Amino acid sequence: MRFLNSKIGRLTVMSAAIASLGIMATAAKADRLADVKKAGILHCGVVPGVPGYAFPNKAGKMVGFDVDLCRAIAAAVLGDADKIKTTKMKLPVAFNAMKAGTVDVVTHRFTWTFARDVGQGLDFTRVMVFDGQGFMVRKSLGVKSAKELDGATFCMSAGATTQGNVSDYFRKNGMKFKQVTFGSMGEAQKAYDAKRCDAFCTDKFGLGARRLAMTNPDEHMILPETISNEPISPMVGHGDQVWKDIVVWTFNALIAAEEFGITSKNVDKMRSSAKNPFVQRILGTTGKFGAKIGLGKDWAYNAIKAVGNYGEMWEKHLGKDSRLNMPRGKNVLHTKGGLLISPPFR
Amino acid sequence: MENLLSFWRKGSVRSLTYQWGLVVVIICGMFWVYDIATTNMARLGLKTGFDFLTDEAGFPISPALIDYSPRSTYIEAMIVTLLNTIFLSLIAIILATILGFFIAMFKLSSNLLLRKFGNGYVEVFRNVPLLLQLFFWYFAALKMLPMKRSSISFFDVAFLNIEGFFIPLPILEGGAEFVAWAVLIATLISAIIWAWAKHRQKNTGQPFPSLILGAGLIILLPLLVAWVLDFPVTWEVPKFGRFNFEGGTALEPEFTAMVFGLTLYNAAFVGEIIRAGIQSVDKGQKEAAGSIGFTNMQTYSQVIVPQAMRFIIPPITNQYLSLAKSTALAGAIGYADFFWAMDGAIAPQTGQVMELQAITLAGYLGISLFIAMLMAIYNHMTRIPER
Amino acid sequence: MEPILAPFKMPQPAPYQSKGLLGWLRINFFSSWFNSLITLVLIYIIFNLANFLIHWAFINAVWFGDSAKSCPDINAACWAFVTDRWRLFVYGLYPSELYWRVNIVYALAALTIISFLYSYGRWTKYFRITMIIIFPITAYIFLVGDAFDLKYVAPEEFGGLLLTLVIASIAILGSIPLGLILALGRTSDLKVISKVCTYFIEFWRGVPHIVIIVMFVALLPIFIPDGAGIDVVVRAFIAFAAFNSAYMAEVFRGGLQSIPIGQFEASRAIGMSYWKMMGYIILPQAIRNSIPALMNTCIMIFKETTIVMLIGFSDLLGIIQISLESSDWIGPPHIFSSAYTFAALIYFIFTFGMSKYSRRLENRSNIEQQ
Repeated sequence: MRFLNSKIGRLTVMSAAIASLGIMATAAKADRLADVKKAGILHCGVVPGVPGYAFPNKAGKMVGFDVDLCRAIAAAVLGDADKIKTTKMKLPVAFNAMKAGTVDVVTHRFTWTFARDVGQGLDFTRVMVFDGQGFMVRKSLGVKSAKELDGATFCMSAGATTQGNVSDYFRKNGMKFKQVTFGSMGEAQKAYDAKRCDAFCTDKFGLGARRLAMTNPDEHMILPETISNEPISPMVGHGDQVWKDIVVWTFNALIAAEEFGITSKNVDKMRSSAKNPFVQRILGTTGKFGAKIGLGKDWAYNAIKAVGNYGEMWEKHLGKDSRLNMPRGKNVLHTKGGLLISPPFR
Repeated sequence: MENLLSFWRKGSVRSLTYQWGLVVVIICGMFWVYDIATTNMARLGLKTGFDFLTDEAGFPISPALIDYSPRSTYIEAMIVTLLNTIFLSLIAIILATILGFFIAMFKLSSNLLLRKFGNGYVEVFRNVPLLLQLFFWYFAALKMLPMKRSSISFFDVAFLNIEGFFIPLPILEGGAEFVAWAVLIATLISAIIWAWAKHRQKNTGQPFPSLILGAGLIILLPLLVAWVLDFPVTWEVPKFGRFNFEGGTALEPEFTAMVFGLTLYNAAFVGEIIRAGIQSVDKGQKEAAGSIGFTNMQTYSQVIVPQAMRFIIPPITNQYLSLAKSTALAGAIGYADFFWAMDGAIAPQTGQVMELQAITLAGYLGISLFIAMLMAIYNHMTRIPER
Repeated sequence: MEPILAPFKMPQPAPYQSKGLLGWLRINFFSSWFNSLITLVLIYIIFNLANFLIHWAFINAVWFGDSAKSCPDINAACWAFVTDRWRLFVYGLYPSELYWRVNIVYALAALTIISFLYSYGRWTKYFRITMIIIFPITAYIFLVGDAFDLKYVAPEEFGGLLLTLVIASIAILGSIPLGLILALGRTSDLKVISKVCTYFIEFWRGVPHIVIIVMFVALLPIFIPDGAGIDVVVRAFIAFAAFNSAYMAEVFRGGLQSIPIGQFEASRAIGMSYWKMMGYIILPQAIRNSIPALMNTCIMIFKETTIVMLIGFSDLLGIIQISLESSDWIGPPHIFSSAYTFAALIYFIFTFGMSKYSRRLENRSNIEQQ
């Protein structure tokens, strides 16, 4: 067989196939705010799989604490909290994809670490949840402290800071341990529930929620030790200072709103009648704070109106109003002895 | 002009132009992609390099077939998990082949119920995604295994519970290398006997029990050497520690579930391949073999299977390759395979995604090439010479 | 002398063993003691399994409810989760006010399938061709929108069965033409082209699919200009089409190699060009010969879509997993085992249907050949 005739077609098709793999419009991305306004939609990265933070409700809408953070930014920037698009990915993949600038903001629970902040093309914004890693064990194990876990087996999920923390903690205390690491937290928890491991290990708020998924929640207890410090912060791409300011100050506004008693219900009343100059500045009745970050004067008003203040968000998704019923821990205002503090709106 | 056209019409000229054209297009494309990648990476502030490979990994891996601790380097972590992947593929390939053979036999059986059972098996296991099956087997296995406090003991040296099957670990002492030498020598001698027996059977038709003799030699010679040296091995027997058995070595349920899932899933395919291969052998062959007095066993081993093999080898090679590739799902149920280490453990710690991706691709391509090569050699060895 | 008459005998009746129901049973189930043993063991296993399943899935199961609290019995199926969240499984995160658009696409898909299931006389061919052309275009317009006043819906909002089917369709429809080109390239006489195609094919075939998908989803933006703008789900579509084209290429190569060499020589002898020979003589035969293998590849692609769940996409399996972690339904393990059983059943229905269809095609072409 010698097909030495008319091969021009074959070549054209083949080179077209190769070239088409790459031919896309070329455009440089520099001004994130302009891009978001132009697109009319805010693109957020979330990671489903941590109860209370991001999951689909019955009507097929993503809801949760992380999603509300995204909605707050959308309300501030676009005036409409529903103009969001969520990209849902697992942890390891998400982190890598986000680095390449896929989304405008990552509202998932990423721990702020040196290695993630430096040289990876990402910037952390501000800590929205102060968490720490802990252990869950069966009460029947008779263990009262993490120090008694020498030689135990741990179930955990890959891609987070979990592995490194456990490793460091046990090395520090001169203890040995075994681990079974799963692709997702759900599998890790199910394996622990099936008694594959002596202990289940993740952030403490996660542990609280996960206990509900056990065959018998009352059999389990959370050990007192917190072995790590997990400041959890949304991320934006490195280098766009204006965009970072917008995200940081929208979050600050949510926390300040709680401090000054602004809620989604009374925000209209507060705007028209509040005497406190801080409240007036936040809600845009005095000063030009919105214009300084390239937004309208209603930016914080819109955000608070859409998702409520920090406390409201917490109670709705993680606290009393949800099945999870988690206490706020260190995530209360500094005025009440917590770590939440917003730099003053001045 | 006329000259130019006729020059162009010459097949060889044109074919050369097209081929070199393609090469140029590909090379240009590569440069183009490289250019974009470097620009993008500079813009995003990403740094590349392989320096991180010698950093401390910091996470434990179990099971580890060779010495490994969290203090080992990333490159050691990669080697350990790559070995895990290879080990898992190997075991699953062997078991899937054996089970697949039985499935094929079921489907060719004279018992209607058994035939239907074989059919049902193939349909169920072939038509449900492997990932779902892996989840099923993992959690089913965890449900069925005994709890730690009620471990099943085998003569007080091996123990089975939910954390795995704990077996004694041999610890070699001085002189053990002689036993290894004995195994090697016995294998060599058996190979020589096998070759000689084959040659003799071809010439004289006299069979020689080379298989039994070889097997005996490989078992007995090392045993004899070991006996002479007063067994230079001590066994580290697992003992119950604070939480579980310590010492010895363990087959963990993640591994077992992976083997189970891969075996059962792939056996459905292997079974169909073997059945099709056997059925592709002409019926007359079986009748002819029977008419010259071959027993059923002889008919299968000497006539049917060697011919069926020609139809079986190519598709079964593909199946083995697909099995080896699907071991990458192991991370989902917590078995520390190569992809688990690269994507789940090392990438989030170092952030060197592109380098890791390149190593991952190279590792799996290596495994695939290795399997393809082995099967090609086997195919070459067992081919039926055309006369 | 009296002639010795052989005593006349009536022909013997068929042996009692091979007649009627009992005979059938004996031949098929109890032909030897070993067979009898196997039969009894199998009957025992099947009976117990059926007994368990009926109790688990029907008698004790909970069918309706709105949270994990409705399923207190951990030894029975909890279908309440499925009935409560079925919309998520069918439509994913598609905006609920636009479900009608998805319904239209489902209806069109059903119509397309029907066009291939039965024969409609001389209209069959036109019906099928129209459907195969109309379906992808209409499906795209209705699902994604952004045309004819339809609101834009990002592919990332697809989910559940919808996403599974979309990935599978794109992978199949995209990989067939690409695979055909690669197969022609690989079987080409032009050494360089054949080598390039071979390496391309073997590269994709040598690497686990999950690795390829992670590579596309995480790294594609770095290798193409403005790649960050590409929807992550679309990146996965590209990955699926890319690696499956290599499998399709092998399917078509098998078909091409099954064509006797005389066919090539005869077409060349009557002066056909390469493309005429391929278009009129070789490919029609080769494609027909590849149909069984092609159907197998389609089934494989359909099952393989589940791995997108491992990177957090909400395909059928993925959306089940993340729904299980919503604050309403987070609960004991029997809920997830019921949900996964449901998923397995859905996958089984689709793949089993496809394999039955493929067998029918094979039988039909066997009959045509005789």
